[in-house]
Amino acid sequence: MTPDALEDFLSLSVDLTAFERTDLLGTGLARQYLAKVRDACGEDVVTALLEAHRAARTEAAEDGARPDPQRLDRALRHRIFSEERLGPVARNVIKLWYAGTWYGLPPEWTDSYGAQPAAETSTVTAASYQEGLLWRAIAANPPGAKAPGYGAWARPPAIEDRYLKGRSHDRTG
Amino acid sequence: MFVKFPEGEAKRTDPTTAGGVVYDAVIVGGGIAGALIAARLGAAGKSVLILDAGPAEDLTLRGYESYLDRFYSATNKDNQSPYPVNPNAPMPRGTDARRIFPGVPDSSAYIVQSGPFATDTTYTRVLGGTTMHWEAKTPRMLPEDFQMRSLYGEGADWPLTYEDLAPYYNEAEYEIGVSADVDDQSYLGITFDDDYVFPMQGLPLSYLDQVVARDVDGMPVELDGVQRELRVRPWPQGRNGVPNPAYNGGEGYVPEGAVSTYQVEVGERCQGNNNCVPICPVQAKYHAGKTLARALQNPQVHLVGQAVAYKVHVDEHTGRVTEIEYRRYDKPDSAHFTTERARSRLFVLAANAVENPRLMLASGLRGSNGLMGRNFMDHAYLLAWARLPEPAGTFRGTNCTGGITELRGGRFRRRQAAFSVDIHNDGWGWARGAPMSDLADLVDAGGRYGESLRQGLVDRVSTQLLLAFMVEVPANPSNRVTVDPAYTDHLGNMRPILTYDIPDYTMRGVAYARQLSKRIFARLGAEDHTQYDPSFWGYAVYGGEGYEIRGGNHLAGTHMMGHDRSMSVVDKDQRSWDHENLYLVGGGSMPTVSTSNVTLTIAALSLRSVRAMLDQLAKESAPIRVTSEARAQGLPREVTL
Amino acid sequence: MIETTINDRDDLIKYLHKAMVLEHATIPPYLTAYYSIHPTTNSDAAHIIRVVAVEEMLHLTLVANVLNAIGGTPDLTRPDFVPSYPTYLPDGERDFVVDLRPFSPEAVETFCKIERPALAPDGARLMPASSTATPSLVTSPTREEMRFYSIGEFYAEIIEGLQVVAAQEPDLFCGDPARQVRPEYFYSGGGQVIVVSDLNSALRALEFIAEQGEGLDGGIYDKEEELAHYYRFRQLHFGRYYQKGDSPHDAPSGPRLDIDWDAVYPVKVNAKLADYPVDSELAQVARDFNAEYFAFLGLLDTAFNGKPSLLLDAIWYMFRLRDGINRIIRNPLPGSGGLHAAPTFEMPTAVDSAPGASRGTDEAARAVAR
Repeated sequence: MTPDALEDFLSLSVDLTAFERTDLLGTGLARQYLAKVRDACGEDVVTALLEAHRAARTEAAEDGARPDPQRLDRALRHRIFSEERLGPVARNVIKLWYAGTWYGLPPEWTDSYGAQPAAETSTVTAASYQEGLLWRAIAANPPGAKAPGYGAWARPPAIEDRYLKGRSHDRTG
Repeated sequence: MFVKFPEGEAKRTDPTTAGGVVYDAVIVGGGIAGALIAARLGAAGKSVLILDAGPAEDLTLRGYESYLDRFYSATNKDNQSPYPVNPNAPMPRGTDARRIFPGVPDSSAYIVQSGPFATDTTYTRVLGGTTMHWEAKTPRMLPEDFQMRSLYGEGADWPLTYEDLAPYYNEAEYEIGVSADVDDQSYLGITFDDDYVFPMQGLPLSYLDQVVARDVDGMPVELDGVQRELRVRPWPQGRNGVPNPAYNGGEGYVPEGAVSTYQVEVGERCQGNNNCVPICPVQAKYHAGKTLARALQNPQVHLVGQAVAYKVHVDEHTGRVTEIEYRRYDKPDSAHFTTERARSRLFVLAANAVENPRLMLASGLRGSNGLMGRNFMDHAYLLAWARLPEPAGTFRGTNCTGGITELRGGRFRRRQAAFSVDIHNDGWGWARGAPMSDLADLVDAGGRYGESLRQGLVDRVSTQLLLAFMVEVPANPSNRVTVDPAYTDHLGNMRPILTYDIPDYTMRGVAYARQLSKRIFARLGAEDHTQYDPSFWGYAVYGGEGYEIRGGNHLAGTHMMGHDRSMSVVDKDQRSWDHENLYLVGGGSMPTVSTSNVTLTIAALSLRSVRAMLDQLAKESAPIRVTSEARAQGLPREVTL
Repeated sequence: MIETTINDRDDLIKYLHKAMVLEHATIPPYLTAYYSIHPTTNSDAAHIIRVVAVEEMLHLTLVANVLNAIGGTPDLTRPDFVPSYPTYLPDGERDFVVDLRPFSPEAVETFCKIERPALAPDGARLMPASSTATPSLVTSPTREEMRFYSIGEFYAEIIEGLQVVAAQEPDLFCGDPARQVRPEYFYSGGGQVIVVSDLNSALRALEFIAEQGEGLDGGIYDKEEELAHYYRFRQLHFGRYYQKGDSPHDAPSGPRLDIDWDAVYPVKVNAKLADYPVDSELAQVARDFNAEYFAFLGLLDTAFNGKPSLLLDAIWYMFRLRDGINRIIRNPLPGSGGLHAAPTFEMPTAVDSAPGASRGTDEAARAVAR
């Protein structure tokens, strides 16, 4: 695994998950996730996915500036999510980060691009479930790990304001 | 304080040597009933042998962590996911349930289901039993639950009253370590001693409960001409909270944390892992391994694991049990076993309401009145789910902190089943596999990623509300556990066959529960997303409406207690009418399952029975003649006790 | 034997302040080592370190109870409350420094030194600071030139002084009972909080601390049959558990204790914010962590100063800190030759801790405030 590939994978993952690079590295699983995607889909698919992401970012950025969010969204949809081979893989990468589980790719994908030995549904490590980003997104802990402490559940969830969109939950307590 | 499991204890007792000893009591099953009885008999100076079907391993922290790792690594995190599959002591699994078609029993899993109603009910066969995965709600039964037949003409009466059992409820709450407040738990006739406080203070209601309470508290409900107001009430919980300094006249209470052979300090207070079922990662939740570890510190209490009871042998003249024949497997992954025997003055079957009758029936002991295995009960669960108008922080807290209990009792029970209501802190997980199902749907079908995915998760998951209605099922002799030599397990033990149907009485309660859920959702301004799938294995139609009905793992009623030996299997001490030195203990003895989770009552009944056992041991000082198939091992022996 | 260095209530208060600094000073090193262990590995070692760290929190609370009982005012927000690592232990032991380092044989060796048994080589508790040839020493807050051999000796001095002062000052225990942390507010295992109201309870609290750390009367087990901290760490050194009957002079003879020294994140020893790339996302995360850590100490300070029920909230803080440390430690530290980042436990400057300076603290503050 080249360091560049890991960097590219992190960059892709930041865009796919809306979690920061330090959060992704903070799971301790970035390398294992990249290796898992390679084992499940094959090297060529991963290379193509990372290339498509680089191209999307370039397309969305004007003159080397930061990519414009709307243009990046469009570029990702066109180059990755709607792409027959890359779309299902990208969606699986999202779920991998969020759930810690690699979900088996749809049968039509494996029919077209071949089944790798490590392609079926599995948790990557015992830790990967605990590091699922899903739980952070809803300000909860993965059931069975990272407990918040006695009685913390009586307070409102610490969901970031930007996701509450003004729907207050201050009416209690 | 950690609970010390004596190192090496699980392997210390040699089964063959133990077979040459006549114990005061042999107990089949190392769950809560067996563990409590073993601890109490041992403390009274009696010799005890516990036989447990699970692996003969010490309860160590490492062992517990291996359960946790198995849970973390499992792609399907069902009730049994932490516990190893063991073909020698198979366990039913929630995922086993299949639709049953008339006349075609489903024998694909351990419990053979002959229907007509399929159930996903489970129990766990490892040391500590089903308390390993229980949720640990510990409500007492209502006084009226003990008199269902005479008050409401439904189900059966108990030979005991609430007042008879109340002192043992106090003791059970001590043994389990219950967190609750007396004020919250005094309703519908439940009373406490004047100065009683629970060992620990009640757990706070979740934020989700509080959001629900805002609109539900004070909601008027009229049923059978009686008006009542609903309120969200905290559940008493068998998990460690803040010790109440006023407990036991000001002595206070010291919570028991994890079980280990080495000092470890976790589990003295619930941390809100939201994983009571299937496994509390820190052992803040009570499990019977804690009691078992304490019992085994007594040198008079022995344990043989990997011991699956095969046959109860009875003296044909006296009816007394002479020995229990069991199969001791060498290793969980090998079917090789040796036949061993356990002898004692008293025998206690504490295997649960399916395994107790299974063993008796497999031994040819149907009972003089043919009631063994009949009157199987469980709770029928109806789920209703909705989306709240605002994020309420679903998926935080213990699995369930609050609920609605006003419809647990009342004269409407003449006509329809009572129920209690759980507000689930784990969202639509039970009904629809949330939140993973939401994630998959948002990503795969919704095209969400990045910020829009994070937004979608808050919108879809943090707003989830699931109400679980736990509806009572009255005793019915045709709901039953049987055996058939055609169905055996790996070790040659006959498997349980379950015949189960949900009566109309319960379905009337179910239908009412569904209507009530709609009213509650309307009051909350919540969007009702409940939809019952006709292809669901537990789909039941009543009054033209279909419902998904799930099992509750609250097994009861298969060796019911009663006043009258022609109408019951055990007396009020859980002693067999037919076999005077045999006790069948646990949920099987309960004549009604009513609307309480059964474990607290099982514990109270077990503690109460210990007194009868000790009285009987004291009275029966005569020599015991060990006969029966002891010839196989030598001549009949006279044993002086 | 040198005469006592504690003659009145003020001396006692100085000693107890120092004891709080001392108890706290052990926590960041334990946490750093504990969280450097890869998840789901090194279970035996992780439990041993975690339990000791939790018990140090208990000790901190017990000292606060003694200090409050004699009318003192705990202060966890002083600029010098948290040492800058590497540091000598504040009791004056000068033969070793305490580092923030990953779980390693070196870390275990330091932990053993921190918790070493009370007995000085020749039975003398206080030694002239100049006798640096002796293996170890600790300073007296009332006599700069004097040092203690070990934490145990330091507590022995307080215990003796407490008895002396209590005999002289009948109203020594004049503190407000409402300031005491009671068992319902603090739980840790390994012993209950002792409410201090008189000499007897004060002595029990202090003896408990000394005994739990270093053992009692040279034995490896304490009254509760728990292994003293020193011997718990020695087990990591030997890779074997102690069992009943083992002597302090011999290696443990119990079952093997498996250690995988490689299943550890190689965090930078005594990392400082200055080691982080300027203006990097990672540096901000490290600053956020420090802000939260010092907010946590502030919360403890409030709890020990009349609001003991806040200790329940402090637990939530600790669990969030746990997640924060884990996140930092799993990030490689750029430019460090393959080492990983680590929390620095440096007191935030005004800029760092300004409201809204970072999302992390903002979230934390909100969760607690509501």
